[in-house]
Amino acid sequence: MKKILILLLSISMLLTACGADNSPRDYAAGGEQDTNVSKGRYAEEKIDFLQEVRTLFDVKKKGNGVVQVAFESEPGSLYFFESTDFGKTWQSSLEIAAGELPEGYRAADAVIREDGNIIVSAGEMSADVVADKRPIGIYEYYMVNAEDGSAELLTLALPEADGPYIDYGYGLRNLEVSEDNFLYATLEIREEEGSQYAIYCFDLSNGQQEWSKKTAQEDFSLYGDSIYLNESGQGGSDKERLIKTLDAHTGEETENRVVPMEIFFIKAVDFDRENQRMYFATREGIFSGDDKLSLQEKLVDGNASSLGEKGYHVHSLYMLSEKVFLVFMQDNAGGAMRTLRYEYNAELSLRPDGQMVVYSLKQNDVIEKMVFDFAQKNPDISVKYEVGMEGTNITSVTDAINILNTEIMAGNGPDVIVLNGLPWQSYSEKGILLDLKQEIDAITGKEKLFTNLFSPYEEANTQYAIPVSFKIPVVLGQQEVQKINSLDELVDVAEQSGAVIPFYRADKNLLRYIASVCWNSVQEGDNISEEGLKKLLEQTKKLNDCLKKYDTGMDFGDMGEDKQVAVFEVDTVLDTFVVSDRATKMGLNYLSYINNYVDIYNYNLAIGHVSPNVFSPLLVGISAKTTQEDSAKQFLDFALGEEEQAIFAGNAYPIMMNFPVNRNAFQNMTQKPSDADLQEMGKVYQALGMEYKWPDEAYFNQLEMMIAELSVPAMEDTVVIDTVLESAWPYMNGEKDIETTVNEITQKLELYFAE
Amino acid sequence: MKRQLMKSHRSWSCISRNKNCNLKKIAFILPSFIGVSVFVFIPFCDVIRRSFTDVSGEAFTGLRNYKTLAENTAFLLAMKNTGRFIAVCVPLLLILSLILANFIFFGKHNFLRKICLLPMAVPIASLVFVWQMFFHKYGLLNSWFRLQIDWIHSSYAYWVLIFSFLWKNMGYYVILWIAGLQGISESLYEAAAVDGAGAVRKFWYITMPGLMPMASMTIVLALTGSFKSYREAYLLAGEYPDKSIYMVQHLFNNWFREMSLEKMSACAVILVCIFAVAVYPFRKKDGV
Repeated sequence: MKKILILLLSISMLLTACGADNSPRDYAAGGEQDTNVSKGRYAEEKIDFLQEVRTLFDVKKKGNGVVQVAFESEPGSLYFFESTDFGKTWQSSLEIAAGELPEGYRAADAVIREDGNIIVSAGEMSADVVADKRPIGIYEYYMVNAEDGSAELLTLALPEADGPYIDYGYGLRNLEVSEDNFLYATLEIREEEGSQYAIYCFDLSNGQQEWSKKTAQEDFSLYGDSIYLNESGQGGSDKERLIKTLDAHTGEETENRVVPMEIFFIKAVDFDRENQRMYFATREGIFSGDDKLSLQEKLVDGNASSLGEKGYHVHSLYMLSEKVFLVFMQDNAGGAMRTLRYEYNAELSLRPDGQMVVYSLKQNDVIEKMVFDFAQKNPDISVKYEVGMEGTNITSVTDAINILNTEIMAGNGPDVIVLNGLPWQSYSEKGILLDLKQEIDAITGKEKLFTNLFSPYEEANTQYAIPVSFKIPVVLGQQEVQKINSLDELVDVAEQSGAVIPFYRADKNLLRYIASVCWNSVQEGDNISEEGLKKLLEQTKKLNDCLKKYDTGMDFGDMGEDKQVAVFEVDTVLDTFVVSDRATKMGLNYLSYINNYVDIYNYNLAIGHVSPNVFSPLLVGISAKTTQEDSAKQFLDFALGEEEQAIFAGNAYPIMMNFPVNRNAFQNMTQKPSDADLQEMGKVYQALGMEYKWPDEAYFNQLEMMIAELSVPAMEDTVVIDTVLESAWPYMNGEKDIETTVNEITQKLELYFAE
Repeated sequence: MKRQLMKSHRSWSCISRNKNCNLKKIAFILPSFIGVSVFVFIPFCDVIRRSFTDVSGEAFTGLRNYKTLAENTAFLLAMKNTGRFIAVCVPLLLILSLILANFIFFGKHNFLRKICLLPMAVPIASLVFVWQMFFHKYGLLNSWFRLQIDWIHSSYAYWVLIFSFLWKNMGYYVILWIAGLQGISESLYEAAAVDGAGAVRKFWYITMPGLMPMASMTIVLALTGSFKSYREAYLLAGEYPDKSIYMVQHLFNNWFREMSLEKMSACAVILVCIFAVAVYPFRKKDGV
């Protein structure tokens, strides 16, 4: 009896424990707000130097909140700024535009000494447009006086340079100076097999070389008596960095260690030598840890700050005090740097109330950018971007969809859902998505949208899917492609292609592309037209055979085994240049970028269509179970607004090649850029001896008219595409006959539609 | 009187001993019962409820979900295929494994007994990989016999699936039958031999009746086992295989992706009913 009592007691305790464990989950799932919000968070502030920081040379921390920065804005300039309040406000101390450095020289690097003077390594600016005015020739070294800007030539003992060095630019980069007046820098040694680097140490009092050491990478940083070398190319994984430590006095290796951090540059790491703490910054956030980073703490969340912004990566991090950090973000497209300052504020809530989750099956740059911008504009709303396929245990799209479905049913699903690749028609039929008809009507009332792109998703006065951007499938080529209006006509032109590659397209992608764009001729409701499917496959095989004749061995970026619809991943580059040089007859892809359209004009190319009225939209819906309905609707409003839709313009985000659904944003994209921008855009044309012109209004009107006629979305059903690829690929390779292939596809799809 | 009192005392202590005994039984069964209730009975009650509601589980829809299923050609096909598969697989599996068990038990082939369970130890994914190599259009089988048959993506897939199911599960049922054979007294066979009975008569009059208590459990296990053969079919030919091996579990998988929970619930209730009817005749009566 005693044993039974013990057993029953254990069971009841187990159940109690389970109950206790479950309660917070239920609480969260119910969407109730936690009223007891913790306090204390790093607040972000963008620093404006009034001059664009294009190249950051050095940041010197001098104690008591004094910080100095040396950077370049336009080529040939050198700016020196100082702050006395931990980087909150900055004063310009020195500006060398074309003054003290020799005429036509440009700083390759600069470093601030303890006394405030600046050591500059400079070379003659290249006149070659493509070389982007880089400093070439044998570099010279100057000590610039921080007070009056006067420059004194330094003589440093470097090995003799020969021809190739001089053409590229021969001299010291990555300058660092120690408190005891030693200069450390890297020298690139160009050899036939590639580049090698060497770190040099000079005594600045006499210019003599103290020691030198060859290294595999040029990225290093000086902290006290130690030099930290970023040898990530020589070991460690993507999530680890091999950091080599050298004795600054002798150049001898003292320590090798693999540190768990994902930094690009060693300058994204800073040390607090007194407290033996290490800090580093990535797009994920700012982290601190012990000197081995065995225990890490996230101080700033990249997703909730500008650190996570798409198109930028962390260049350098400076810990000004335990509570203040300065971060410089490099623009991936070569634009100006961003300077961010983070200061701990004990009064800020640890996290804003509630969190809106935006979900997409696969990583999507457009949505990521929109989420980021929305978070920046609405600091009171916490937004998180989740990618279904990025989970650790997820191996297939089906896995990801099943997990999403489970989350939705449990009430823990995302609030805003990117519907591409998901069974969204089924979701909308089952009331899982919110009807956004009223919302869209309200937005249409204040914004000028391409309404014809929205109407295909409207049914019985309800709308569950909203396109936020789109692409137009086109055939690009010489003037004759204008006549192409169908798959048959495309096949005719391809078969007559003669001695040139018929089109620029990877073969497996070709099948996916044609199936997606021309599917409307195959499916009627829930029925598959066997004749239509047969014709589509036969024509695609003809195209594929045309492509096979010209086995160039070139990698066109085939997705290989990844059979998913890649409309928003890699199928965006419309290579106007390849088609214009007439080695390739046509480009078969998506027109999605205004600059591509301008290139078509400049190369005097034309556009044809495989299927009339087809476009591939990026669709967004809102979960009917959302607890953040207002925020989700606000996000939608924001995403369709003219201001946010402007992200598709210009060169800033070339990875986001989509057209905006906002007509005003589109029209703004077609406005003639400034002369300086035009010159920048025309560089490649200039190198080819061509003139770059911005088209007139009539040319853009043609595109607008083309867009206004779009009303049929391309087929993006993952199951259908997968089935076609799986069954038809052997047919394309001649391993299966057409009848068997058509039967197989029809049978599978009939089952799919019957379900 | 004293005797009566003694008798009543004895019977009372017997009742109290029985009560203790029952309490013990309940205590032992309780953890399992709680587990099964929490993870099976209670969720299944919710499934029954949901089979009469829409996908949200809030709006009562009556028999609409069942009507939808009755009109769903994919469901009817899947039910037909699953039934056909069970109807072929279970008898084949039981008969072949019984023959093999007799062969091993009476033939004293101890080595075979040891390797019987080997196919069960092979992970199903790697097993399917081997079958794919074997049965692929350009696989080993076609290569050996110079054939051009697409075994996996045609109606042959049904027989491939049956073959792989039998190969994988045969050993387990052989072991079950052998366990049953071990329970039959050897003296019965000796007596039959003295009476001049041959192997067939011994099998028919001694082995078969002796295995009957075992048979009901084996049949139930075979039924449930064949019902769960979806993994093989899925790994062999994917979410949309040839029509001949399109099983009920394919439907469940695909409906879950489409979030058709109401259809899944109705389908689950139907399957449980069918399964209960199928298993009912084989239930154990009075512990026999």
